[in-house]
Amino acid sequence: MTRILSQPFISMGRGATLLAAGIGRWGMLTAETVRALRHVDVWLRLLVPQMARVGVDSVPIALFIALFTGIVLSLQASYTFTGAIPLYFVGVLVGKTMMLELGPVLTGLALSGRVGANIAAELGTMRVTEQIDALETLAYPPVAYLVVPRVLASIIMFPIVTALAIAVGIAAGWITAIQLLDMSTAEFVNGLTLFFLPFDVTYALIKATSFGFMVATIGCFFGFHTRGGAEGVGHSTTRAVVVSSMVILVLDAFWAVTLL
Amino acid sequence: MSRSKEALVGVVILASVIVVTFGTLWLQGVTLAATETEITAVFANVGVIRPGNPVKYRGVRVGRVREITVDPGGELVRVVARIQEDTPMPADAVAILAPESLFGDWQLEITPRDRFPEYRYAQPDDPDHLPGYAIPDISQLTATADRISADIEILTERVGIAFSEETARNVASLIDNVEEVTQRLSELVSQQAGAFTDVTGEIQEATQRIGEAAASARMSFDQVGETLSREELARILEDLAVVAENTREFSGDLDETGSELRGMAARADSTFARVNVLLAQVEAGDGTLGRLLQDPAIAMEVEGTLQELQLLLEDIRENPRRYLRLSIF
Repeated sequence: MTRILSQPFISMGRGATLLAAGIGRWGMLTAETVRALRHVDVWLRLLVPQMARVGVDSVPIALFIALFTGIVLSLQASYTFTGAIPLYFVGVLVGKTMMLELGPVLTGLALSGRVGANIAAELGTMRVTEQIDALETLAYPPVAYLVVPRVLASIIMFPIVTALAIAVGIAAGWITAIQLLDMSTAEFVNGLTLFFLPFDVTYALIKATSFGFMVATIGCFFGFHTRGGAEGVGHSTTRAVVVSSMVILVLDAFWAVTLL
Repeated sequence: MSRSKEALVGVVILASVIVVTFGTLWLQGVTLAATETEITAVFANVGVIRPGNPVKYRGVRVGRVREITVDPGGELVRVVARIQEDTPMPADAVAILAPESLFGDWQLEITPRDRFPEYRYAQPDDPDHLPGYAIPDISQLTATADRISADIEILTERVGIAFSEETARNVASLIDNVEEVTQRLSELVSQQAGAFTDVTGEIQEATQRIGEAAASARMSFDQVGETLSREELARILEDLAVVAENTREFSGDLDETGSELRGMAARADSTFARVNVLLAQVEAGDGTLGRLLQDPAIAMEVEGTLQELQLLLEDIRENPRRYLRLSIF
């Protein structure tokens, strides 16, 4: 009876311990990544290919999401504002929402599924096939070779992809407002510029950069610590996507609290 | 890694940088082609104006607010704005911060001072800076309304204090009086309504009678008409002729009587003439009666005689045996 009653507490304590251990290992990997930045000759030649994989290859899916997000935002804004609120506030809502929230977050979530899963699966496979062990055996810094280029590529390309997604989303909302809502370009642009602040762009880029860093480091972490065979790779991939998605949402709230 | 892939990465990065840079500048209202100039206005407070809000001149957007800083002394707020260089600036220009619409968007408007001379503009130290005034925003109006409501609350409390129990009783009494007066008025109205009903009934009855009288008169007129149309009229006329004849005879008798009266008057006149002569003789003292009236001595003698006669009569009444002796045997 006592065992049954104490089991939830035991599970909770064990989970907290595992979480703390995971965070600690992630912190250690991050610190090692920072230290590995000195191996420029190792990671630099791998950076551009990783930027292509992380950023350029992710542009279509990011723009696709942003396109329909802008359309839906414009339509829902006009639906909400029908009546007392002037329609030029559609521009306000589309611009502000795309820049401050949906552009960075949706792009981050999309890229966490694509990039984070890719990194975790790739590194996990290398781990279970002992390729990483071989690098260590050859005294080749695996973190500088495998982690640093991916993390740096994500840090660089996430804001770039996010900026393009924001632009496409706003453009989609603009075209929707003109074609479907009988708004004029002047009305939409008036709303778009009404409450615009340069900090909105800075805020979006800061969020996107942080999302890129977390998605890449979490993907590398779960890939580096993959155990078992193919099942372990799948498990690590899933966990990488889930955790990075959760972290993106937590970071989104964190930046809203600290920067706005 | 192919060079095309590297080029593609470069294109994406460049495109993103261009989008961010030009997009930000465009949304800020920076027009690279147009030349702009910078103006500074000072305010006591700036309401909810923010960098990026439009600057307008006569309703036309000519620039944007760039920077808002509190003066080192803390007394003023300096607002820096960039406007088109060709914007005409009035000689006595001032800057007014006001809501652009009801939805929280504000604007800085450049206007001549004499358009709103009643505003208390903040005075700048630098003559190149514009005096400014911020119209109170809705929060300040709400705060004012809050103060007014607080005052009303205090007033209500005071009214509540003044409205004592005695006042309440007086008001209740007043209401009772009003109710009583109302009731009496109601009764009066009811009575008047009854009287009015009676009068109306009487009027109706009188009207009815008048109608009946009219009917009777109509009948009488009809009868008169019938009478006039029948032979009775001839008989009446004959009777009237007889009456006229009798009247005429009576008039003749009256003429005769008048003649007799005239004779009697003549005789009276002669009698009066003789009486006048007689009276004139009396006044002249002719005859016994004249002397009696005219001569005081005679009159005194007569009076004395009468007194003696009166004394005699009294003595006879008192002592009849002295003067009258009756003996049968």
